[in-house]
Amino acid sequence: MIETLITYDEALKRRPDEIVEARRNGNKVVGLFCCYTPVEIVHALGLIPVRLGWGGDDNLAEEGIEYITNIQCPYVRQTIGVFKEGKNPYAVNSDVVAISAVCLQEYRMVEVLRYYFGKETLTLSVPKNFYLPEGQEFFEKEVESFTAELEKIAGRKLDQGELRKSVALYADIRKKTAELYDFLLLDNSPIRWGQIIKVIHAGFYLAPETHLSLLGKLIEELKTIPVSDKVKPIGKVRLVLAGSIIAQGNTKIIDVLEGLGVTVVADDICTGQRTFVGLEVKEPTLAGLAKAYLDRTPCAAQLYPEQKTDKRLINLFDLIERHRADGVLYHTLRFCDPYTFRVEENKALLDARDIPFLQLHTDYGANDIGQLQTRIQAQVEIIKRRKKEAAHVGSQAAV
Amino acid sequence: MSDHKQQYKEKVLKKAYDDYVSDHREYLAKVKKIFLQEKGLTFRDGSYHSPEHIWDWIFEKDAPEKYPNIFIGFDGYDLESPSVIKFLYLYYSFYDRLLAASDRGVLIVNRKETIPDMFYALGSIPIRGGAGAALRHQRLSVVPENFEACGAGSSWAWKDNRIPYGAQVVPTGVHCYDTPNNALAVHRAGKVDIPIFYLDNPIGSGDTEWAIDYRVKTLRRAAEEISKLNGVPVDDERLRQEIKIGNKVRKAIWKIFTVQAESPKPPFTAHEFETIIHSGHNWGGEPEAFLEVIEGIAAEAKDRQTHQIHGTAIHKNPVRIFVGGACTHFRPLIGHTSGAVPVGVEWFLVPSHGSLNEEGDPFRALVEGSPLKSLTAPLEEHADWIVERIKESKADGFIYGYKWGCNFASSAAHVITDVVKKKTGISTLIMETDFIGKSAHESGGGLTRVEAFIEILKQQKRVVTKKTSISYGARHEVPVGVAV
Repeated sequence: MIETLITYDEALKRRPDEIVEARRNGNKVVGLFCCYTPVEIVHALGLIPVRLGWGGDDNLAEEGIEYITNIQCPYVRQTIGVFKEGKNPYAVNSDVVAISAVCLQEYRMVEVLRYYFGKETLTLSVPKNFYLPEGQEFFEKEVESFTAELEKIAGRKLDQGELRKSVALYADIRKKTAELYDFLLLDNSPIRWGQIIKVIHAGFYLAPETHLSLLGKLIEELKTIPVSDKVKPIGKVRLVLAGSIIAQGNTKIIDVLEGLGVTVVADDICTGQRTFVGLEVKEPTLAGLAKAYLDRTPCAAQLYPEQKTDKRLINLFDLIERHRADGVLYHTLRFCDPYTFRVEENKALLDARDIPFLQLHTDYGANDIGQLQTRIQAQVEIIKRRKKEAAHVGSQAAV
Repeated sequence: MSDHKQQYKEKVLKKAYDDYVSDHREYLAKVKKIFLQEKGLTFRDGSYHSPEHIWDWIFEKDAPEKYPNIFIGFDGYDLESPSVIKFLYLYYSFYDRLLAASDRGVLIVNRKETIPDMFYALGSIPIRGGAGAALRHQRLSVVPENFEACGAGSSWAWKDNRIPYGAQVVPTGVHCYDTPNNALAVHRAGKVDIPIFYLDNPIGSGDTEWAIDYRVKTLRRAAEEISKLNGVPVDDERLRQEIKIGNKVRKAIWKIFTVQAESPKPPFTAHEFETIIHSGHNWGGEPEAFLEVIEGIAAEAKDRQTHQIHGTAIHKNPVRIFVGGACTHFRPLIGHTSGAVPVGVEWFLVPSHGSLNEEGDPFRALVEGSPLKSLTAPLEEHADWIVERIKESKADGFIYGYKWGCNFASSAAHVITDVVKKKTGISTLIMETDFIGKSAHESGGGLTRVEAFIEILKQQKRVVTKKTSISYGARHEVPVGVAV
């Protein structure tokens, strides 16, 4: 039992009331979609940032179809379904919905929220040519313009001192989150990957100061957990989970993996490890934030022509190496084009390095859980056998 | 070619040609006589394509053998118009000419949803869309890189050398999500030697000064990349000249739309109208020849309107359909269904809307005057563009179509049809189709839905015309069924 995770749960239970109270006192809530929005600016303006977007509920995903179609990804459908249902406190209490427009489906989702649910929306346009100087110049102007719109909502100008503090605060959060992932480097981690994901998701809602404080406590607690209580990986198979978003509430893949005792040791998910990987704000200014966010390890929806210098792929291979992974599970949500279009390439690249690859193409329905379990189990068995054979060959060579 | 495909070509497609010729023997003899009096077409490379050659290509040699499927629905064309015959030659011989041009060393650019002016100015031939000429004519199989993507957006044709392209210049943020993703997937899967460049239209950026600057710089950079490949220098003056030709082409296509839209009994059949306005995407690979032909058709269209000559078998008071959405058409359905006629198709019309500035920085002109703006605009503005066209064309009904797997167009379906309903009062239908509407015109389900929709519109039209002439915005207030 990790005590701090209980504290997290308690803080999450209190959070909706805190937000309602804050709004009563005149504070505004900015609901954010996508990870290319510099959250520091929202925070520095005294606005309350919450990251929106939900998954894992097939019924709500069905509700969303009323406003779009069934060939949108389930994440987009469900998020619309959540707004339709009108019960989620973070959706209900968002005074404005802001999106960094990277994924076109997600952008369209925000347009649907504006049209059908009357949500005030803000768009931070993100260039696809992010690697070219003109793209960077454009994004800098976009961040300035986005900030000006936020200033109107906040009713005040951005203070450089406040921005500096916010930049430092979020840098600390990223640093601590990275430390949390470092536990997964161990053979016997005191925390499971699925728990870390839930901590990150909690941070999307909690006040950043609270989240940072709890992260510190969590790390200190994890250091004290005795070996006997640590995670014991089945057959010592270590896997990286890559691919589509695993949004708040979507525990399907996590549950399947944990149910099988599979050890995930890293991920490249935008709601997981990619919340901090490759994101370093070197200068606490708008220009500095624009540069940092645009240069971050990109989403597959950001189109980068050259394979060798593709930071997304470089990061994936870095994760595999650093976390001593035996294989990759590549999770794609149905109709998530950016990641599904990359399947063949990822598989080919991993095959060339003799790293086992398994695509898990799924949605939020329960009908394929059995299939997923069987396929993952089979993959784990293959990896175990390969490891065993490799060890055998190694020992014979030593003889 | 597989046995199945060969059999299909021989039995089904070839039959289309044989049937057409045997049913129209006398008519063809008559129009041939008229056509051979015409002058031919001169292409950019100086070659002259005589009327005899054009006639033979379409009716006697090349097309009957290689592309017999083009004769399906061929009786919708008014062959008494010489410009229409020349148009058909430009339209259907494009793929052959593309291959020949490539053999001569001309750079073929896979340019997806952009307007063609810049590419022609750089001595290249742009080809739009995943389907392109090859698939349209040959019915080649479509194997997407991503099995959940739409067929056209991710056609295999780009990967297996059926289209000999030498560069990919792919716009982002327009109305297609699959093409830029597929272009990258194909590039990384063995086509790494063929450069890829993204013409970024950052979604949601609007027309801010910095967004325009960014797009202008991106476009100029793309031009320089093409120039590096084929050695044709980036020349602003030449581009301005190309824009002038482009403006005339766009104007002529718009004129054809206007004639169809204004005429109570439209002069073009579904097949003829849609094929002609569709050609605004590629200009048949030959800007000057295409301009000559399309201006000829526009003049003849006006003439048809003046003399009240209407398309074959068009009903005396037809139900008028405007088609929105992307990459779909419903001409086989609307054309085969008695009493309906298309009066506009969004994705055919969009590239020909408006005129570009012919002075100053031509790259800025291409960005600021881009006819594709409506596709990158916020959804409500996009819908307003359609509403305006519906009003202009006095459409009785609106079909919004998209292809299975097209996330971007499908996600707009409900908002756009809702706006159309609110602002025009006309009835709407959302249709999901398979590759280029294939399922729509080959499956009973699609046919039944469109026929039922047209029947509803016929009933509504009877109500409206009997009671009063009601303007747009009020029609929905008419109690449905009262006068039926």
